[in-house]
Amino acid sequence: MIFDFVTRERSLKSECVVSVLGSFGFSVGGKPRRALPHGSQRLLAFLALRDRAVTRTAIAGTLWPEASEEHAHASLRSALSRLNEIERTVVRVTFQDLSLADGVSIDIRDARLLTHRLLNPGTGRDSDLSDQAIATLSVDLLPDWYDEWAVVEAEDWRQLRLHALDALAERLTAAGRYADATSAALAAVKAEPLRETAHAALVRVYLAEGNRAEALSAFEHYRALLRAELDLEPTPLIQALVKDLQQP
Amino acid sequence: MPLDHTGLLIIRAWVEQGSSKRLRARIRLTTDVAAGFASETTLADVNAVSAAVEAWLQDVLLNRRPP
Repeated sequence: MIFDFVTRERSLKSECVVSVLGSFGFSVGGKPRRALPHGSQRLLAFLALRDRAVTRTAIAGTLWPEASEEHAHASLRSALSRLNEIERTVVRVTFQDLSLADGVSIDIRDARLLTHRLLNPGTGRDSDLSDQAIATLSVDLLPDWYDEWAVVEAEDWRQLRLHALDALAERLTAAGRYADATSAALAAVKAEPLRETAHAALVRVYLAEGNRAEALSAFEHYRALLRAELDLEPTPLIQALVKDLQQP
Repeated sequence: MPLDHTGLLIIRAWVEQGSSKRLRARIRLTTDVAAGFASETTLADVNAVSAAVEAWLQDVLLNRRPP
């Protein structure tokens, strides 16, 4: 009987996914769970982002910074108590600290590993050069959350994914997969329209596939945007990419 | 009496090497987080960024939505 309970609990945990990319999500066996109370969502999202044990005091102080210590701890107890039996199996609770249980999947953990593989030469996998990778790197982290801890994590992820998209576009170009490389570069441009390295990556993709007109068009688009927004010219670095394509 | 709203301003700044003005500062701001971000802009001048922060603080004080 005890064995059955333990097996069931392990099985449940291995099927649980906590997501913070795009929006908060919690699913079991591929099926989204009921909408959790906001305090419980914040607790699971915070533990997913930390991805390690965090003391109760640190959690309470971070999630409810404007409350007194006593009220913050009460809010933490309330967030825990509002999880039902299945939901509570994903949280490892001790007297001192909390963490997500072993075996619980966290989308940001996998996404960060993906970015590190893309940004470190020689550590990539073939599966990293995929539509799924582009999709993962195209979304912000908890975009409608304004808690200080969430905003800091969101900005950190944004920075990481921008660089990873540049690297992904470069690797896809080297592999001759120009359509996917274009998608990756465009995702980087969309995320930060005035960041020059993203536009340069897009121009390089078009040049690599021999599409000179598109390369020039992408450059002209960036130049027009830069002039309109900041009254500035593109740097010599990106101008050099299209120098031979422009009419005298 | 405490304010019943919270403002938020995020500046992401980076340097564009080789540009005549190297600073880029992307600013997202709101005077009330309950309403979400109200505007996003990118500036390339330190004084312009300072002016934007000052204007936002005035808007927060006066509970004004940014233009």
